[in-house]
Amino acid sequence: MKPLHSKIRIGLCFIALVMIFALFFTRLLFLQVVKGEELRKIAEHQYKELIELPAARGEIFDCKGNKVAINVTFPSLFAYPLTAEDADSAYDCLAGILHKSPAALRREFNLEPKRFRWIKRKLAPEEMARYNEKMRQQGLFIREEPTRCYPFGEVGRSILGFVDIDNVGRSGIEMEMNGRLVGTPGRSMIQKNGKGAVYRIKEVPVKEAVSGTSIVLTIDWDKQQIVERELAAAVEQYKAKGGMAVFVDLRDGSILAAADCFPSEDGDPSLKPMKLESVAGIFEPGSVFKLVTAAAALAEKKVNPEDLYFAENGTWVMGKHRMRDDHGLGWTTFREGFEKSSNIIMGKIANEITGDKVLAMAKRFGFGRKTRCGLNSESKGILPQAGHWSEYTTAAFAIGHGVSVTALQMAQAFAVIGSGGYLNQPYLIRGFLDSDEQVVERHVSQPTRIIDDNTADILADFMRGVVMRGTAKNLLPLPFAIAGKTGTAQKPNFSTGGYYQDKFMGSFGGYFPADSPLVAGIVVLDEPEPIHYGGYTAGPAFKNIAMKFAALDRYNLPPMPDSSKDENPDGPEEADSNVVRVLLADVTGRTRDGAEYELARLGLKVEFSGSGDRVLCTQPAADARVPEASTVRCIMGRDAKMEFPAPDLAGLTMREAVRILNRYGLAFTSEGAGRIVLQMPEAGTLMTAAEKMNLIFARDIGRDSLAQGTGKDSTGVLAHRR
Amino acid sequence: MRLANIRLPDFDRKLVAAAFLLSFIGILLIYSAQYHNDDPSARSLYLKQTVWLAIAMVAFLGTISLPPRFYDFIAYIYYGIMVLLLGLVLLAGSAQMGAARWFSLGPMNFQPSELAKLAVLLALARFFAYTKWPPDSKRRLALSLLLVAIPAMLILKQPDLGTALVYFVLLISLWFFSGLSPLILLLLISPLISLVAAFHWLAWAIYFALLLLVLYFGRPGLLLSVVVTIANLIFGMMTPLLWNRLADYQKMRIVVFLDPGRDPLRAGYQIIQSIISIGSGGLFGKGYLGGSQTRLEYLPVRHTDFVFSVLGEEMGFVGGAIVIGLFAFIIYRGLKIAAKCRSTFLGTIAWGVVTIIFFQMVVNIGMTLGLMPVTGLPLPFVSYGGTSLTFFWILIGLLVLADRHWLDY
Repeated sequence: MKPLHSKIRIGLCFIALVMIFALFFTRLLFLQVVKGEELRKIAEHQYKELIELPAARGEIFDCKGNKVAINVTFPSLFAYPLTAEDADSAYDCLAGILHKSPAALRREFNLEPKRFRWIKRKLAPEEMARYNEKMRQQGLFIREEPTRCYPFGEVGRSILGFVDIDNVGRSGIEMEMNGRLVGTPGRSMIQKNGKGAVYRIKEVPVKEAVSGTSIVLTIDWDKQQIVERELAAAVEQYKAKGGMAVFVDLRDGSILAAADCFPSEDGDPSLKPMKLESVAGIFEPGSVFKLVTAAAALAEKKVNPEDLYFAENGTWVMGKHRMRDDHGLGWTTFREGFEKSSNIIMGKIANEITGDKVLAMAKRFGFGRKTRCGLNSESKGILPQAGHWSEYTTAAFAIGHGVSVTALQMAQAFAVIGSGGYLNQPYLIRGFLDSDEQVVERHVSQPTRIIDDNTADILADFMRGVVMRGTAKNLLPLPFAIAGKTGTAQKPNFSTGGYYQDKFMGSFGGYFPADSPLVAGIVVLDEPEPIHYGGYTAGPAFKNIAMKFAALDRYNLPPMPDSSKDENPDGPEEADSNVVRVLLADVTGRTRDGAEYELARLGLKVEFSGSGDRVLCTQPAADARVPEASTVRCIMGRDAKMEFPAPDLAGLTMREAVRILNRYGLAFTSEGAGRIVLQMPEAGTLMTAAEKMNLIFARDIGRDSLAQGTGKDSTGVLAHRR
Repeated sequence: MRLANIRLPDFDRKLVAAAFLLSFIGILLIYSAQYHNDDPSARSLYLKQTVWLAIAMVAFLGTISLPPRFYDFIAYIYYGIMVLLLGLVLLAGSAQMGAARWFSLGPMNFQPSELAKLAVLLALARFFAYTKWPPDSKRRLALSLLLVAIPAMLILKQPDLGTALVYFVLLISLWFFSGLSPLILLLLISPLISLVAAFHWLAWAIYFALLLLVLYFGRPGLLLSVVVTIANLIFGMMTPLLWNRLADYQKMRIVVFLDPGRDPLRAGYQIIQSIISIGSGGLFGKGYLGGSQTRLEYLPVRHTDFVFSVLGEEMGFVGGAIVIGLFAFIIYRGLKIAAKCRSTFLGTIAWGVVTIIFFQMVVNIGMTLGLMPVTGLPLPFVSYGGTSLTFFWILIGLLVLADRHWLDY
């Protein structure tokens, strides 16, 4: 063997090799056994990620099942390019979507690889339409973000309130019920791959999100809309600073409508009060409060309606105080004093039965404490302290001075009379929807009798008299009886401690129909000008509301009898009737099938005459009360210009809407998918068969987003969140 | 020696079995590495590798069928052809990832730099076997350096630093094997160490002081001492210049080797992910086809350069130790063969084979374990790559050949 093949050399190398192999084994052992667990966690950490699954916010329904607050998802665009080249090419894609120059976009966003960046929250539908899946490759992604949407727009918004950008309720029901509405977010594990992005993500739900509880309100959105419109019209007509109105179903106390209207000077709706004024705001009621005084007097049985009092010819001097009546009266009965709203007579009666009795009655009516209607922002109102009465303070209290109430408390008081002496706690939340869409935790009304039925009957009679002969007789004629009380209160001047001579709260409260009471309520106008009498300002608004409620619910009522025989409300028709009568629906403008369907629903037979495909008019005419099973003649014509009220399609599916539109023979366009959130023309507005019905559909959260191209109309509706 | 005397079963079966086991594990790992890939052509890479293994076996059998004299005869001719091919691939090769390394031959790619390693090995073995110059003679060193430098420069031009490095390591290893005194060897490679040490002034200062000590006590002669000192100084100072000449990706590889956390999302990413993969495998691994790092594509080039990381993740320490053990076994057998060969030519070849296999293994596994910078050298037998697989089987063939002819002079 040659020396250069020295075994020592090879041996040296061998030792070196053994050392290197030992190093490798050690390193392998170190990484896999010593640090194994730590590195396994790092590996898991980088491919597993816990993400929160947002819970859908509960929806809000009105008493008829209309969705008044729903969730829609809006697409939001963000960029997450993986490479610098992607980031570069993304600008061109963005330019295509947003219609801006790539250079401007580059300055604006300055995209970097693997850096998250919002491009635009809430893409407009037409922008969304320009997005396509190919842009994902450039690192442009869409995320669906849930947003609150109020299909009825501003109607009832002061009840519902609003949510902030994080979907947290900030006022109204949205705030007070936020805890129940939010639901419980779920959790899920996702796997990310090494390319850092969305490629092959496996979702393993760990915990499903629990949607928030849906709430069913007692509000009827149709009535709410009526009340809001009438109130706004009255506020505008009488140049009032504002107005409030509340209407309750006096049979169970459910609040049908609660509106406030405080137009800000520059017309900015965001300056509207955060709270619902008709529940949270207090005012000095003035004469409407005489109802309580009269109830106390009658309940004491010390005063009879026909007892005579001297009304001091308009000015009553009590020491240094004076009390005045607008129209001086002489010797006058209690009844007439109430009907004509005499301060002096009510003051004298209160002194006769003592202030404490009036105060006790006020407390029984629910004044001075919260009604617990469901809104925590509600006010208690202020009652005077018991036991400290002078002749004047007693008299002032009797006419609603020195006392503060909410509109809801007043409505509650009128409801007591309408229901024959029972107090029903007013409530706003009918119940909650469980997962099977069943109403649970349903509110149960517990009426308590607070005045005997004799007293209630006399007061009901008084309040009828107010409308028939008294301070609200300007409301006549009426198609059905309304019982009410006017109020024209001087506004307190807090700086002087006295009252303004020229600033008034005009109010009118009551219930209707007086013969079979259904609804009680009050309309209050703050500083109406130039007329400030409640009967002449709030009264007509109340009357209009009553008329529209009656039309909406198709009250089946006899026409109001003449005032000469007002003690006999039963009309001749009701007297002899085994005959069931129905209110003939307005079918003008409908197709032959549509009219037949509608009238068959009312149990009427149909006879057609004339040629043509639309009903020109009916015999008897619409809104007549016809005996059941009688025959209605429909005169057909071809007049495409004939106007008829647009049907109400809100909340319907496409299939349901088509069925109804076919009855009217109406053509339509539709956008989106899901249920109808908006229709043009609106329900109830007059339209002709030549017009098209435009329908906007939207889906609930959790399903697909608002389909692209929801159109300009929908952005208007859906952008209502503040 | 007559061809008829060769009987096929007559070879070191354990050595071949170890190499075959590695190749088989390689195919399993390639299958696993691309199992979850959406691209069907990537999923079928293991089939291609199987075909290549068959080709490699044929090449292996061919290698051991030929007499040693054939290799002796063909060494320089083959060397010349490979240098020509290397030149050609620069001019006409297919570029892949910025480097022209391939000839496309129908469905297969052919990488001449792999087979050029064989040419350099044969040429060096032949040169060392027949030269009469003493091991320390300058002419002998210079000429052998030239033999390596020509193909190495061509490969550096591609550029493929890793493969070129193999050539120089092979040369130094063969110098050592052919009798160059360790002192001279140290002095010869000292400028290169200087080059590396100069990354930090303190490291370089310590190294330089040690070198001076060696020179003082070793007494290699005044002239050599002066030349070595000057060369070290020059190389030390050249480091910044050379550094600037490196491509950005090469610089980054060195930087992140020293500090992987410096750029964890890009350059350091591969090392970090490899360490996470191997470490998260634990003692027994996550199971075959069950590696999350592999499946979710956190591991880069996992069927070639980082195939050992797939193994570490899915088979754990046990799998990794088996593969390293198999390599150790091959090296051990190879060293024994090299030591017992009577012919300088065959002994040198066996030594060279061991050097190449060992070096590539150390660089590749060292890289996956975070002990070495990223170089892109494949793991012998295991990594995907047909030319590489064939080449290593030819090397095994040469070992077997040397073993069978160890008594020949």
